[in-house]
Amino acid sequence: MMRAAAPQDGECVQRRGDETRRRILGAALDLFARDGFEATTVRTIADACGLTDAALYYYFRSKRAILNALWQAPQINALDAVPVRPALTEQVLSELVDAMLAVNARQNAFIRILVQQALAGDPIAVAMHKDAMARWRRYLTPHFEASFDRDDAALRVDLFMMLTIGLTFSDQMDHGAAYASLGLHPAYRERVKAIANIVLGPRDRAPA
Amino acid sequence: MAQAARRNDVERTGSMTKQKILATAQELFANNGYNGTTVKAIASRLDLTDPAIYYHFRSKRHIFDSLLQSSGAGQFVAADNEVPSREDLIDRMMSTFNAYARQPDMLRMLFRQQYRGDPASNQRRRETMATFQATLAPLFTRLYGETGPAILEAVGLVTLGIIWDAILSYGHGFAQVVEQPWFAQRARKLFEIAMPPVPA
Repeated sequence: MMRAAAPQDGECVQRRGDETRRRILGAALDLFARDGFEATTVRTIADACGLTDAALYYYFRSKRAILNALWQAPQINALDAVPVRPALTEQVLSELVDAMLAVNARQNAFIRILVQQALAGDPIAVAMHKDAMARWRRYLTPHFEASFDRDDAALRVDLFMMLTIGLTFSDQMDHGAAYASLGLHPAYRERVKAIANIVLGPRDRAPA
Repeated sequence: MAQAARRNDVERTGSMTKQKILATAQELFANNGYNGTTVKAIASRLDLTDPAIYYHFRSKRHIFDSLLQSSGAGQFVAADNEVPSREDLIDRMMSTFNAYARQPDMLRMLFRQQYRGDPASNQRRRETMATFQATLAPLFTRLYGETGPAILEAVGLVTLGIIWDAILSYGHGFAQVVEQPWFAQRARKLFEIAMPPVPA
């Protein structure tokens, strides 16, 4: 009887351990985003999870190990699929803006850590930024190539990305953690779509 | 006479020291961040003592604020009453872009502080954007009609996007990248798409 019960206990401990790990990662994500990686102490993270430092070190060897675990979180690959249409219409552009804003809002804390670490010269963060840019380019290119030749499409993809970086970072600077909800607000999305449509949409508007 | 001359000398030396402190602080803030820079580090780079720095600036924050005040707001060319050509507007955007790109350390320093949510730095950013918008919107409206201000806003955001992306991608190398001809050429190409020819 005793023997048979043992694995069950083990499983239970394992499950509780996984949950604690997730809790630590969640707290670290918010704290790193708010205060920066350097300024956040292991003690602050432990406090936020109701753990002692020693208990936290049982799960992660160091603060750096927590950051590395955050980098590996699967969330960064989640881009909503937008089907490629025969032409880049206002509708397609609007769906691409929605996809971009959804990812940025969902990953607000993650992006804020990544940007601050890249600014501090962390080579992993710099590589991840470049990687994310390359992924966005691949994601956007077929939509623009539906309406433009290869070179023109590449420039328009670049314009879309630089516009959204300027916009997203400005709003993250002003709103910090609250950007996560701002980015999904319907009025905000309409504003971004209007700007994107004016510089990248089909040009059939009346001249001045 | 001799006393006045000596006082002038002292003042000149003092203001030179002040300029050196500002230049060194800007470089250190850009490379190591505001929080990662101490007054001691600024002093030791200049072979000065901490009190020598405090003689000119009450605190590290005062050095930063002084730099912030000197950052490039209000350099945009004021509007005249002619309807500008599209090429003229693109040229104006390029001179704004180039004026920005010529101060790489300032841009990196500001980006770091703004992204951390420093209120004074973000206030400065909003003021700069507002001045940019207010100065150039009449020109854009004359050429593009009611979509003019939105085109201008987009072009302003693209300028920030290009600079911020390059700072993230190149870090310390940003100062060299802005000197490369392709950096401005690419900005011009993006402005040309964002600012299309107006049908006759």
